[in-house]
Amino acid sequence: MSQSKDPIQPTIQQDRRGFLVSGAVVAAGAAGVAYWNRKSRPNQAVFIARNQKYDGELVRTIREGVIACEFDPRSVSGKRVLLKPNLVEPSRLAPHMTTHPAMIQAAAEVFRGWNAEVTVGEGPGHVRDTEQALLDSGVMEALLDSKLSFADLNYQAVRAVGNVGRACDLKQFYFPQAVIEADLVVSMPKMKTHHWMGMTGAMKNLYGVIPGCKYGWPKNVLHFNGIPQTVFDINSSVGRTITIVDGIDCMEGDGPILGTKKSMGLVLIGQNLPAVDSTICRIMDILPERIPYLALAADKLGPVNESQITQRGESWRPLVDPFLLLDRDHLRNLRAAKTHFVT
Amino acid sequence: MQRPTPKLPRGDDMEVNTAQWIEQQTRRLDAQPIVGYIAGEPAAAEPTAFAALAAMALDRGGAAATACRRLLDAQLDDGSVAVWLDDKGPFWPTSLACIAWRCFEKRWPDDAKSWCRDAYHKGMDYLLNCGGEKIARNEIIGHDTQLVGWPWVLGTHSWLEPTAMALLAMRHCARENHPRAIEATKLLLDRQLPSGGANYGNTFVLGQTLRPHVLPSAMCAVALHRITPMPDPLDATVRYLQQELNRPMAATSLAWTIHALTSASWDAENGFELEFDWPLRLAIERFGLTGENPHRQNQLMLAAQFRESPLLDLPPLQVAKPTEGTVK
Repeated sequence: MSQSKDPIQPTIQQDRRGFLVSGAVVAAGAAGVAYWNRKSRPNQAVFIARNQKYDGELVRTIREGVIACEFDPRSVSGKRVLLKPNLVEPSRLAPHMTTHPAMIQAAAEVFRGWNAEVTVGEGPGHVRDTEQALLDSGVMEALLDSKLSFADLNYQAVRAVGNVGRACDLKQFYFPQAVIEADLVVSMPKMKTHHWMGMTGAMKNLYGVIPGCKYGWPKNVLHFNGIPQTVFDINSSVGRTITIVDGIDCMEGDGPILGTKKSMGLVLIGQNLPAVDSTICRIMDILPERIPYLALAADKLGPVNESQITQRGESWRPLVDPFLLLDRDHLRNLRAAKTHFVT
Repeated sequence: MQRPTPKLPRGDDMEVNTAQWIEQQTRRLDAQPIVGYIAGEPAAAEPTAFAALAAMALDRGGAAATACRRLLDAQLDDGSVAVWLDDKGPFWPTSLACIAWRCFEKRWPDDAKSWCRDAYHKGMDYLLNCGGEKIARNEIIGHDTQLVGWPWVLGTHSWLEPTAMALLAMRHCARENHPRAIEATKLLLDRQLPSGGANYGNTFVLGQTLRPHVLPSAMCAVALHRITPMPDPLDATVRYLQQELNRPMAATSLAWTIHALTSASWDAENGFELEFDWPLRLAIERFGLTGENPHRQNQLMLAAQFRESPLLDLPPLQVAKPTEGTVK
C-alpha cells in the first residue's frame, strides 16, 4: 500500500522544565540533565517494605520509603507532582492487573503533606474510553474520595519534546501538558510479568504518558519502533521521575493483562527506575540484564548491577519468590533455573 | 481491602430528568458547537464531528453548520482531517468528518450546496488511499493479519476502532460496495471474540483469548448496522453488550452501546426490550461529580435520539463476497 507516514516531526523549542522542545543542538540541554544525573550517580537506593496491605499504613510506608531513598521533600514544596498509575486495561474481573486505588490515595497524601500540588494522570493503553477505565479500576471513586484532579493523558493537549535516548528512530515524543508541566512524575506500576518483555514495572509504566490520540490504542507506533527501544527513550526523555511500586497483589504468568494473582505484600520505592525494576526482577527470579529495556538502560539511565544499588528497608534476597513465566522461547532465558514456567 | 467507598450515583436516588437535561444541553450546544475532548482544551475533530451530529439530531441547523464548517476549514488538500484540526496528524478522525458532512447534506441539502459533497468526496479519496500495514502471519496472534482496514497512525497495523469508523463513513458516503468496505466488514467480524464482544483488535495472543471491551464492541455493531444476514459473531457481541448495560457504563461507551443495541433491534422480528433510561441518567448524573464534558455530553444527547440518530441513518448492508487482491 502506498502511503506516507503521519507527520510527527513538528518544530519544537525548549520549555521551562528543559524538555527537548527544539532541534538537535538544543536537545543536549536541560532535558538531558535528568538523563545525565541518573547516569552519573554511582549508587541508587531502592527501598522495599514487606507485609504491606491495602488497608494498612501505606501513607507511612511510602513517606518513609521515599525519604529513605534520599528524596528531599522540600524539592516538591509548591511544585506539581503527577502520579502515574497503571490502568492499561482495567477489568473488574482482574483488579490485580492495575494499580490499587489505595496506593494512589496514599501517595497523594504523602506528596500533599509536603505541600505539592498533586494530580493523577494516565493514558490507558488499550482502552479509549478513559472514564470507563476509571470506573472499572475503582480509581474514579478514589479520585472523588481524595478530591484529586485527573489528567487524561490520552486526550490532553500535547507538545513535542525531543527524544533524548535515540535508541529508536523517533526524533521526538508528544507528551501531554500534564507531563510537560509536572516537576516530578511518579511512576506507580503494578509488579507484573509481561508476556513479551518478561516483566513490567516502573519503566514500562511510562508508556502511559504517551497520548493515544497521537499514537493509537494500542500505542502501535511505539511497537513498530521497538518496545525496548521506546521504553528506554521515553524514560530518557520524560524528566524527573521517582517510582512507587504496587507489589502487594501482583500478577504472574500471562501478564500484563491475563495473568493470575500473586500476593507478595510488597511496596518498592526508588528515585532511579532501572534500579527499582532490576530489584523487582530479582524478587521475581528473573535476570534483570536479560530484560531488553533494562539491558539498554544499564549504566545509561541507572544501575542494573546489584553492586551499584543500595538496599533500604528489607533485603530483596529473603523475598525472592519466582513468578511464573510463560513457557515461550523468548522468555526461557530470563532465569537461570528451568523451573516456574507455565503454558 | 475493599475498593474505596463508592460515592458515585447508583441509580436509586437520581433526580435527573433526561428530557430537561437534553434541553439544557441543546442550549449549550447552540452556544458552543466546536469543542475538544476535555472542557477548556483545544478543539478536536472527533468532538466537533459528534457535536455536528448531535446538533443535526436535535434540529439545530446553525450549530451543525458551524461544526461542519470548522471541520472543512481543517481539511487538508489530500482530504484528511487531523485529530486536533489544525495540528499535524494523525488523521483517523477523517472518517468522522465525512459522516458529519454527509449527514448534514442529507438533512439540509440546500445549505450544504456542494461544499459538503466536495469535502466528503475528498475525505473518501484520502481514506481509500491509506490503510493499515499487514504483519506476517504467525501462530501467536489470533486474528487475520493480512486483512487491511485502517490504522490509528499511518505506517502501523489495522485496528478495530479506526476500521469501524472508516466503514461507517464509507457506508454513509455510498461506498458500501467498495472492496475496501467489504474487506473492512470481514476484518471487523474476524476480530470478534468467540464468546462475543471485541477489544481494540486482538483476539488471541500466545494462546489466550483476550477480554472484550464495551466501546470497540459497540462500534463494531454500529459499523455493521442492519447487516443481513446477521453474522453469528455479531449476534454474540450484541448479547455481550446487553449484559454490560446492567452495570455502570461511562458516557462514551454508553452512547455507542445505545446506538449498537438500537441498531440490533432495528430489523429484529421479535425485537427486544430496550431499557436505556437508567444507564443514561446514571451517566448524566456522573457529570455532576466529575465535571462538565461537552464532548461526552454531546455523545449522550445523540444516543438519546435512538432511531433518529443520524449515525444510524443507513440502508441495510448486504454481506457481499470479498474480492481477491483488492488492496494495493
